[in-house]
Amino acid sequence: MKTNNKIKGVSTGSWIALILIVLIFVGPVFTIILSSFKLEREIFTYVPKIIFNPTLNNYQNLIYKWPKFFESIKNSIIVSFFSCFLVVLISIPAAYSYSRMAKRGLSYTSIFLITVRMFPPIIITIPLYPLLNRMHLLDTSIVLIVLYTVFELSLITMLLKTFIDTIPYELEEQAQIDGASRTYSFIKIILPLMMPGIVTSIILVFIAAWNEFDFAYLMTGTASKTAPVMIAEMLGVVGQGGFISWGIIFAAASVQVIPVMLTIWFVQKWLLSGMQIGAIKG
Amino acid sequence: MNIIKRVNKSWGVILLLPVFLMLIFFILLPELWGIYLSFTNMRIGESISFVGLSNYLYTLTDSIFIKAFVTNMIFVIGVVVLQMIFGLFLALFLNQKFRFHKIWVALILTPICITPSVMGTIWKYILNFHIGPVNYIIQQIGFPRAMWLSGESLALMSVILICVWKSIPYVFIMVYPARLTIPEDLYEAAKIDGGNIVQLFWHITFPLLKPVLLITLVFRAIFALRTFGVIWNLTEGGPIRTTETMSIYLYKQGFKYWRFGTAAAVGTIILIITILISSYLIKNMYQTSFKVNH
Repeated sequence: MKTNNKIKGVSTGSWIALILIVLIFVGPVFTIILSSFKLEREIFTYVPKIIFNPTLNNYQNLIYKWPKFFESIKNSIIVSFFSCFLVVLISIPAAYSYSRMAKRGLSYTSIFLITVRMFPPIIITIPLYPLLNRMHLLDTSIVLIVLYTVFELSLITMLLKTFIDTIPYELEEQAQIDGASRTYSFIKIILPLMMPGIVTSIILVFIAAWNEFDFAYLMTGTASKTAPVMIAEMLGVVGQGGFISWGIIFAAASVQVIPVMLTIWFVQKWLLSGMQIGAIKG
Repeated sequence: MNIIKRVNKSWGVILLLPVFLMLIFFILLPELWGIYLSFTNMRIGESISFVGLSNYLYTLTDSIFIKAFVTNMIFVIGVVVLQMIFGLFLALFLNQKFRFHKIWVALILTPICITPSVMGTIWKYILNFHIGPVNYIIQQIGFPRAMWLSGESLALMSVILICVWKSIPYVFIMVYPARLTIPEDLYEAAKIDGGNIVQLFWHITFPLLKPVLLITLVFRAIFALRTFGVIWNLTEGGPIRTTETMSIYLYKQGFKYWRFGTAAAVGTIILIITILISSYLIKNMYQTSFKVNH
């Protein structure tokens, strides 16, 4: 929009503005990650220290004093893995049906998917909590896996549908004329071609499950606590004596954040299209 | 020759069944059940009895709820308006031909990958009264240190700004690709006719982005309305309930005082507001797209 005809490229002012904007978004996170490699007394210096000797001190303390944190990371991995698996497994047939089979009447049912996604999730915790309590399912990973799966299903179904839409009918038809069954032609032709869509879906569900806080906070106790809830608990303790220090929390936060941050950076292109489709259609 | 259409139609339904059964059993029915509970005096371990509208009467006359409602509305309007303005600006700004622009876009998306408790860690440290970098900078410029999150007067503003920081990338994700689809010829032609940047924005960019902006607005407003995790990790609704929104009120009623009936009533009120926001704007959206098409 601002491309100047006289000077190709971008003005210095724009570059300075860009650097400032990027710093606003990245700076706070980097501060925490950098500080996780500082000694406690360096975090607390009043004049922020920019140059320091990196140390793994906080990470060692995290391992020795908070082994529970790594259990919560394990729980997070389990919950995220199974949520991704279930969402993709259940969404693929539905997406295929919407793209290839559902005409007229049936395709209107997708409105239901969109509407359900708009419901406030917190309402369902109220009837669910006493029920799970009675069934002795509170504080199990299964509850979180099911909840994350159902709340991502509608988005991923619509996302995968748009991916299948881009695969020409003729490829499948040709295979079936050659005698392949519908299932065989789906596995041999459609599935490989929709791989980018499946990868995008897995990334979106993984990030959502890995970072989910509200359900995890309400539905887990000691056994199935996920990393975000564990960090919240550590944050609640900070300042109440020498029990835990900022340094240890920074280390824990870094362990939780860095994998997702790297993922977002490296697959940004896929995410842009995936998240936009998700946000519009479901 | 149309093999695909010939295939048994019932397969279309069968393949959809798992998704629908899961949504019905784990979302729709619990939501309806939650609405039903709002008319009962349910508590854990006791039998449920029907109490009519008394949960709603209790809630709507509770001054703490009224305050939470007002705070929630200020929060939603503040967060949504600011993130829409900054997100739109950012999307247009990034449309310049920066070198390495993929790297910049990736970096700007960083807040998306941060979970509420890490948000709490980051901002509680940065805005810390004693050791926070923000107070350090402010004091260097010559202003007194401020209690950003622990002071009554600033807490809500700080929470709103932090949520804006977290939300701008989501608006960016929606608007940036939409801006790329507007052909540059339109701008070239308008420039030849002597249009300046402001005119170009109001006559080309804004009308063409309006449908996307409206959808974004609806979703961002719905998500802002139900915000729980970030606020809880930053302030737990304090100090002195200045940042207590309806979700936090609901949490306290349900999971601290075990008044599930009252909590369900609050949840139903949040649901009703969600429906109001989405229906009004979606209707608007369809009308706009109708006008554009003619």
